[in-house]
Amino acid sequence: MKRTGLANRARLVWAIVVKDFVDGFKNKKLLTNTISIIFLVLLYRFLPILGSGSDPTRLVLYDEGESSIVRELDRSEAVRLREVETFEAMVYQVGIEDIHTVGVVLPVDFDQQVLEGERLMLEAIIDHWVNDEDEAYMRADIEPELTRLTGAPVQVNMVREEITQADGAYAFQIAIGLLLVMGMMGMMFTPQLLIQEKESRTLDAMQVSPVTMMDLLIGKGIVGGAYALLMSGFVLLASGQFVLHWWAILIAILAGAFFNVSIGLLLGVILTDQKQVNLWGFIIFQPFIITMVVGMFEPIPNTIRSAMRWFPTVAMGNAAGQSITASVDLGSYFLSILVMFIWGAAFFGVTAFLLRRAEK
Amino acid sequence: MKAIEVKDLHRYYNGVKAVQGISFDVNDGEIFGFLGPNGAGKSTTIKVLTGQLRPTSGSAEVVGCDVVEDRQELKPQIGVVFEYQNLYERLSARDNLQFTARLYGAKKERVDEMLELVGLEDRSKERIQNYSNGMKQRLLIARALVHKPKVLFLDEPTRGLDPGVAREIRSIIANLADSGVTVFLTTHYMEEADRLSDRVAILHQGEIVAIDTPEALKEAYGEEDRATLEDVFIKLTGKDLY
Repeated sequence: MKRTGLANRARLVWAIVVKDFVDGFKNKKLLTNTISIIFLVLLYRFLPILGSGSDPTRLVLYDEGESSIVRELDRSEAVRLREVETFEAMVYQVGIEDIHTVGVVLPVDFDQQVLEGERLMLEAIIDHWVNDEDEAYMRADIEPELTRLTGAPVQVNMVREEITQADGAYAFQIAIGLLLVMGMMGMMFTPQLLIQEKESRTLDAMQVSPVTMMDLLIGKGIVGGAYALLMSGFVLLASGQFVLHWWAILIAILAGAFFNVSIGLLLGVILTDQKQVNLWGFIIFQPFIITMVVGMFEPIPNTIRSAMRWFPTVAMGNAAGQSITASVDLGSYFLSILVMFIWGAAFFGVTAFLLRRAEK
Repeated sequence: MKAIEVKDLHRYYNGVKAVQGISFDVNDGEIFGFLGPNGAGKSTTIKVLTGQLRPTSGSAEVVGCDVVEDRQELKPQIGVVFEYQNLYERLSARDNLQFTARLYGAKKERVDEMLELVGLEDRSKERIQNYSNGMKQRLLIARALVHKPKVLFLDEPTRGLDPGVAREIRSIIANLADSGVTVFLTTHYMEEADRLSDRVAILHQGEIVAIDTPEALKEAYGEEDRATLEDVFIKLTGKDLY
């Protein structure tokens, strides 16, 4: 076979991409799925907020001395207390806790200040994305309660702090949102692009046209990837306020899309109908999502945690989480990106191999 | 010049002999009828000639391109109408043709020309899932011609169509030959093959049992003065057509 020009190949891939996009806009099933995913993303993002309306504020307390008020705060119903040993632990805990969490420092001479009956000013931290409304909500819980318990007027000076760790509730929220949309678009929708061609037997028409199976694979991959990126945009719209490093989240999304779409292409090549895609897409998705949840939250031995870094969804969780921290741990971040690309390239390589073998 | 040259072509599927050593030529600009009962190997032969299947042995050239070695060079030179209606149902006729035109690098005007040729210009923007079988079949022919192929493969192009629509399709095929396109036609309808084909080959159990002009075949194998191609077919294959 003679080598054909790159421009020619690009034209063929572009033709497939344009056709699939036009077809996608007319596909009611795809539109329904898209709306469902958006709904799911919004639900994940805003359900905790809706459900937390009457919850007491979580108070992460770092007591520099041995203040007597701590025992009374523990029994308080206005706040939910969690005491930590160091300032760093307080910052960490505020970063990983869910909505309405404030870290308060009790100075070493707090009891003395209370006895003197002076107006008390306490230093506190909240996450950098907390809005004014939520700040007021927490203030309304904490200040009256501290005033009641001390008998002296208390004012809390809340400072917004950039979080330092990539495995908290908000990192998880972004990561799980991205995995949901990319899993749906990559592992469920992308194979359908190929299955449709098989079921309608339009693939036969492609085979007698100048399109090679590699053109087809790349074209379908681009379409699946574009939909995955588009849907990821909704996750960022919903959770973008947490992000401090946009370059980090965008690279993470690209790598995640590549890895998810590569799995989808493999499924599309080896499976023959829509039902198989639904079944196998669902089955394959489970270990990926479970590993991410376990990898980000569960207290697991360090050896297992180290091994899990090589799992693509754990890597995706870490990379997405890094984007909302004060400073990106570049070594850990780029290792995660590399892991996703390696997995994606491996799946794509296997798919290309199978197609080339079939073509011969 | 020969548009198609097939020499001692074999194709086996898991040990089953679908095509067994067939050899034939198709002349440039000719309508060549390729007839045979179900399972005779017609579709297998078309798949080999269009590069969809590799032959087990033997060789085949279409417009001078080896169907195995020069597969990519062959593709722009042929058009195929499959025996099933494989179109993008959610897209319009125009979208379907534009996609094919893009694949072959054909000019945009060809889309309008083809829509006019098959009489679909008025409904070109409708989704084709609303089309009748006849309209879809006409669109399939338009799709196969959009890039001006030198050889057109038609696999049962009138099967299951109303007589009126089938006649329109036959008229389009006849006009194609007049414009210099070589047509490789498989059909169950002997009258259609008789009327359209310059020459026909009759395939039986993977082998060609006769090849000539319809008139010559009727003369050679017909037992009556008014023998039809169907009579010849039944005599040679021992099978009814339906």
